[in-house]
Amino acid sequence: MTQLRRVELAPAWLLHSYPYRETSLIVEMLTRDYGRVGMVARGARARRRRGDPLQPFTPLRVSFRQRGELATLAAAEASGPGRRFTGKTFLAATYLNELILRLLAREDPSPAVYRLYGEALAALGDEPATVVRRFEGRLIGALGFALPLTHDLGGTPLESDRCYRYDPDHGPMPAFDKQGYQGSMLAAIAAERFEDPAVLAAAGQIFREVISWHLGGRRLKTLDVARSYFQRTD
Amino acid sequence: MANVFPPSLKSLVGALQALPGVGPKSAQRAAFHLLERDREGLARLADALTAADQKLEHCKHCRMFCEGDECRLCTDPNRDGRALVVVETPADVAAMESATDYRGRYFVLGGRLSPLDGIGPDELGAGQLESRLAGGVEEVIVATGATVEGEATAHWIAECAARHGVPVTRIAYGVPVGGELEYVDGSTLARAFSGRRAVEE
Repeated sequence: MTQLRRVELAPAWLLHSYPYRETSLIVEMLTRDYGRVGMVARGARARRRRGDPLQPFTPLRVSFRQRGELATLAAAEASGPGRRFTGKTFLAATYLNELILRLLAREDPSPAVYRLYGEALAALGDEPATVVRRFEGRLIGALGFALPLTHDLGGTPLESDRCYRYDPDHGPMPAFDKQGYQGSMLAAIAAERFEDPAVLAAAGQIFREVISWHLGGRRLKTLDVARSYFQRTD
Repeated sequence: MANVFPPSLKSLVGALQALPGVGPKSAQRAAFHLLERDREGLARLADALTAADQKLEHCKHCRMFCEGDECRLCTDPNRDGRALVVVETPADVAAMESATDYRGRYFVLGGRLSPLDGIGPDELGAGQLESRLAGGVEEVIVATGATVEGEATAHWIAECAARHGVPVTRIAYGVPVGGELEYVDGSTLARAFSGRRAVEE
């Protein structure tokens, strides 16, 4: 991409930002139409001194120019009120950001991921676990990674009272030692019946394994911070 | 860098680049200025850098920079040990000291909650903060920034204080002094409105 691209007022969310040179920031944006775009926000740290719409969890409209990998942010404005998350909801929301940062490559337009993220932020409340599980499952699907929960590797439909091991690469495989998950449990995860705490917990385990497999085993910083946060507060 | 420079000049120019925003060109200009026009300044700078490196530590109570293991703010008997202002950086302490008549004690987090950067309670001195809260503090005033992370940090501090039964307040937000409503951004105005207060007589 050597041609100059000019984009005006694209819907976007700020996923992360970090200092760049004296007064600037690098911002990682999730745009609806251009995918994840890294942008230089010139002078953005100076603007922070007097308040800045460039905040996470706030719907934004961003204008940018791009030639090469890093774009230059020309303008950003809030297009609606931002969510103010605290405590475990804040930790959950930053976890969603890290999932997108790590799993969605730059310049891979995915309106579906954009929509899922917006829906998840809107739904996050005091008990974020259900929303996070639903987001994980749907994100894995939207990114085109298979998450088979209804058929085993050979294409045989799962039997509800049989036990299956879950392999992050291959999906369910019949288990002969009564270990793993019941077929009915996997069916419940596929149907997102997360009201049942057992289904929610099993979905958490399976999704985490699948995500970790796609990350090549690298750890997620937000999970490490969340762990130490809860050790201190519980 | 020109090879005509002697080693000590090269290393000075190199070392000056440790300063934020200083590249090879500005480092060279600064080095020549000091050497040619301000030898006294050069000597003072050398002494100050050595002293700073050798003497400055973080205060064991509040994490502010200090010489020795306790800072002047924490040992000053004229300051009120029952009030504790929690800020993000040492610069925030200086700002509070010069702008307000607050004469209590401080706690410097050294950042704010930022899980994506791996910064959680442990990195912000949670253990030291807890022991401060357990040690006779009667009011905590949270003075973190009005950013998403600043808010999340404030909430976490409020939770800690609540566990120790210490009442918490948060500094107010609102219309800047000399500001007109028309030009204030929407979210600031919304916060200023929801945090409105009785007109002082």
